[in-house]
Amino acid sequence: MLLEPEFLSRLERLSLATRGRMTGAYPGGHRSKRLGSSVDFADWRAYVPGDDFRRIDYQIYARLDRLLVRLYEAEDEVTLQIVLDATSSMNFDSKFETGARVGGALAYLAALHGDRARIWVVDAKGIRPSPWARSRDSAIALFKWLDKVEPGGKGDLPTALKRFASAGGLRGVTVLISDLLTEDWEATLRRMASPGAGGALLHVLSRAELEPAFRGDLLLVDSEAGGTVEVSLSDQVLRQYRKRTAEWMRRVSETCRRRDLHYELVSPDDDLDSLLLVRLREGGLVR
Amino acid sequence: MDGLLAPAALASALLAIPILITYMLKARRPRQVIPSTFLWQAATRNVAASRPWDRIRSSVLLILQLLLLAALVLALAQPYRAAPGVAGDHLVLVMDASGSMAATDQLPSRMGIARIEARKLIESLDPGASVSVVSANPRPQVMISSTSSRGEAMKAIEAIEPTEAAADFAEAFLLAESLETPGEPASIALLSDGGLSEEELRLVPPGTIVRKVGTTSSNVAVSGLEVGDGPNGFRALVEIHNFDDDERTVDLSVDVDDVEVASETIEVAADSALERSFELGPLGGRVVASIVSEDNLPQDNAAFAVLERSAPRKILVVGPGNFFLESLLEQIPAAEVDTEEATDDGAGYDLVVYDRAVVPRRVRAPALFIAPKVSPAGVTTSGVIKTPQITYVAADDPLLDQVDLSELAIARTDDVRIPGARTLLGSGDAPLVATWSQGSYRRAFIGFSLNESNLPLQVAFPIFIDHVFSWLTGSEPPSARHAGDPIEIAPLPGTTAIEASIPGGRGQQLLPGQALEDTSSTGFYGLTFFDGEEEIGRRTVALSFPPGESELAPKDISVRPNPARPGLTRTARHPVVVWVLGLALLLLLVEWWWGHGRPGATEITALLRREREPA
Repeated sequence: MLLEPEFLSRLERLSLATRGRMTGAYPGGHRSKRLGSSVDFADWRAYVPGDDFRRIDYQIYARLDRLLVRLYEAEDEVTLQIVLDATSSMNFDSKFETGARVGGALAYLAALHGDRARIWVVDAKGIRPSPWARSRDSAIALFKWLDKVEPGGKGDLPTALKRFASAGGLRGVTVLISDLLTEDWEATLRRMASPGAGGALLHVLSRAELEPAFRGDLLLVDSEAGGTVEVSLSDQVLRQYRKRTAEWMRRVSETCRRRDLHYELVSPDDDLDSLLLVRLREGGLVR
Repeated sequence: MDGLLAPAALASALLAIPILITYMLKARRPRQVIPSTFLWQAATRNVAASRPWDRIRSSVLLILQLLLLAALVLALAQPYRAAPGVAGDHLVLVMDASGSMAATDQLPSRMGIARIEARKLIESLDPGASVSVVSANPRPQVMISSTSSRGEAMKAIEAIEPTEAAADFAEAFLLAESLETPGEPASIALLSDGGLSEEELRLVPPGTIVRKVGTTSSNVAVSGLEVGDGPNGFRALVEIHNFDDDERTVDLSVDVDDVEVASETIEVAADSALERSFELGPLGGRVVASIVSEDNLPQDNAAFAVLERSAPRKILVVGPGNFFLESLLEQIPAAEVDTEEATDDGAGYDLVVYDRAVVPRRVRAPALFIAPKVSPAGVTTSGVIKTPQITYVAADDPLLDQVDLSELAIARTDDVRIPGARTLLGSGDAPLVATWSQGSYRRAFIGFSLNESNLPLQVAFPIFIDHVFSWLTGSEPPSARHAGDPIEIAPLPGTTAIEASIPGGRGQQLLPGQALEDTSSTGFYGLTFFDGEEEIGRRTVALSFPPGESELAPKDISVRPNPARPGLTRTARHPVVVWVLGLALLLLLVEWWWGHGRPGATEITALLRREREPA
C-alpha cells in the first residue's frame, strides 16, 4: 500500500488548514464565506418578513426599538486539489513515489476530517483526476488508484494547470507536487493562483540534483525532452551549478510567497513524519 | 644524444596540431541521462556549452599519443650519439684473453665488457675501414685479418674466450704490428685489465688506444701449492692469497686422488697471504688444494700438483775414474752406479756418463758427455780453447736454477759445435755446456774436463749435476707449473710417440722432443709414452692458475705517443634511431593497451594481491 497503517494512524491527529474563508458545496468544519447556522455570531441585519422569529435579537429591540436579526458564521467543507507531476523528470531517485506518498497523506487527512480531496496526475497524456476521497475508505481507494499511475513521458505543466483551472480545480486548497524542472516554471506557478485559499508548492528535488555526484566530460541527456547538454564537470562547473540551482530555488520560493503559496522543499530522503507532522504543520498547510 | 642527422624532420612535429585539434573537437562523451537538463543549461551556459570546442584536458591517451609522435619525429630526425672515433683505415684490436679477464667484477665479465668496448671502437670506424683482431693469450694468434665486415670482426671477437693462463703480450704486440701495411700505420687498440709485466709495458706499441676493463681487486686465490717429502710421507704447502681489502674466511681442503685428506677453515687478513702445511701420507697421486670462496674469479680457487716417487736409477760411468764425480754419485739416493773403462753403449741403464771416454757412435741411453775423447754423434770438435772466458749464461734455464757459476774457471775446453743444442754456458761461439735431444734420448755435454776446471769445487756443482741428471732421465720437476707454460716432455727410453690428454677431454699426439704447447687450462695433463704400439709409461703434469692473474686490481697502461699512428681523432656519430623506434613501439603498445580498457589489468592486480597475501 502507498502508506503504512501506522503512519496513517499518526496522520489522524492532523487536519487540513485553510488561511481564509472558502465556500464548499457541503457543510463542513471550515469557515465559509457564507453565513450559516453555526454557533459563531457574525452580524445583525434588519428583519424582513419571512425571517425566522427565533433569530430576532430582542435585547437590541428593547434598547433600540428596532427589529434586527442575528446572523451566524457558516462552516463548509474544504476541497483539497492536489496536482501531482508524473512526468519523466519525476521518475528519478524515487521523486514520484515521494510526491505520491505526500499527496496521498494530505488527501487522507483531508478525507478523514470531512473534507474532499482528489489528486490530479500530470503526465504525457495531459491531466486526469483521481476519484474523490471523502472518507477513510474512499481515501484507501484513491491510494490504489495512485498505485497504478506510472510516471513517464513529457508533460506540459502550464497547459495542464490551465485545463485544471477550467475544470474548476482551483476551488479550495490546491497543492502542486512537482520538481518544476521546466523553462515554464513561472507560468506554472502563475496558474496556481488561489488567493486566500492557502495553496502550496511541494518542490520535490533529489540530493543528486542538488549535489551531482558525477564528474568528467559527459553528455547530459534530458529524460523528458531528450535534449542534451555537453558538460565537463570540473569543480568550478559544479560550484557554478550549485550556485545557479540555489538561486533558481530562491526565485521559485519568492514567486510562491508573492502568490500566497506555501513553499516546501521535499527530498526523497526526507522523513515523511517530520515533513507532515512538523514542517507542513509549521508551514500552515495542516494543523 | 648529441645531435640530429636530419634536423629538418623535426618539422613533422607539427602533426601534433591535428592530434590536439582532434582532441579539442572530440565529443565522445559518455551519456548520462538526468531528470532534466534545465538546471544544467543555466549552470554551464558560460562554461562549456557556449564553446565551439572543448578545452584540452589532461588525458593519458593524449599524452601517450604525443609521446609516440615525439618518438617518431625524433626517429625521423635520426639522432646520434657523438663519441671519439677511431681514425685511419685499419684498426687492430688486441684482446686480452688472460685468466684475469674471466673476472666477474663487471658483468657479464671483464671479457664481456672488453667485447662491448671493441664493438664501440669498430662502430666508430669510418665506413670501409678494415679490422684485424689479435687474441692475447699464452699463444697469441690473429683471429681475423683486415676484414671490412663488422660482423666478421665481431664474430672473431666473440670467439675469444679468456684462458686460465697469463697472456704473452710481447708476442701479441708483435703480431699486431705485423698486421700493419708498411708505411701505413694502423690504429692499434688494446682491450685489457692491465696485467702486463714491466717488460710487456715497454713493448706496447706507441700510440696504442687503451680500453681498460675491471674495477676491483676483490679476490681470494690458492696462489701456491708445493708438494714434497715430509717426515711421514708426502707433505703439501698451500698458500692462500687474499687480494681483498677485507679479511676473508675460506674453507680450504686438500684432496689426493679425489679423496679429501685435509681441510681447514682459515681466515686470511686483507691483502695478505697465508701458508698452511698438510701431511698427505706415503702414497702418491694427484693433489688438488681448493677453497670455497665467493669471489670474482673462481678459476683460481684450486691449485694442482702431482706426487711421484722417483724410481731407483741405474747409472753407468764410462771413463778412467773421477774422484769428484764418483763422490757425488754416491750421494744420490737409490742409485746403482756401475763403472766401465771400456766403451759401452749404455743399453739397460737409466743414465750413462762418458767422462773423458770414447763415445760409441750409438748410445742407447740418456748420456752426459764430459770432455769426450771422441766426439759423440752430432758433436763436431774443431780444436781446443785455452782458458776460455764465459761469455754467455742461460740464466733462465731450469738446469741453472740456483746454480751460481760466476766463479767458474776453466783451463782448457774443446772447441765444439752442436747443431740444435741449447747452450747453457758459452764462450764465444763455442758451447761449454749444452743440452739436446737425440732420437728418444736426451744428451748433455760438458766440453771441459772436471779436473781442468774448478767446477767440482763450486758450491753449485752438486746442484748442477743433480739438475742435469734429472733432466736427462726425465725425472726433473716439470718445467711447466702454470697454465700457459709449454710442457717440455722428457721421453722415456725407446719412446716413439707421446699421447697427451688435456683437461677438458681433448687429446694431442706428440713426437719425442716436442713440447706440449696447448696448456691454457689448469688441471692435470696426462702423458702416455709409446714405443710403437706398446705403451711404455705414463706421466702426469699439473698446471695451476698463474698467481699474477689472480691479482685483479686493474693497472694503468701508459702508452707513449706516436703522432704517426691514427688514434681517437675522429668524432664518430653513433645512430640511436633503433632505440628511439623501440621506445615508439613500446609507447604504441601502451597506447593500444590503455585505449582498449587496459585488458588484463584487473587480473594482474588480483594476481599480485594474491601473491602478497600470506599463504
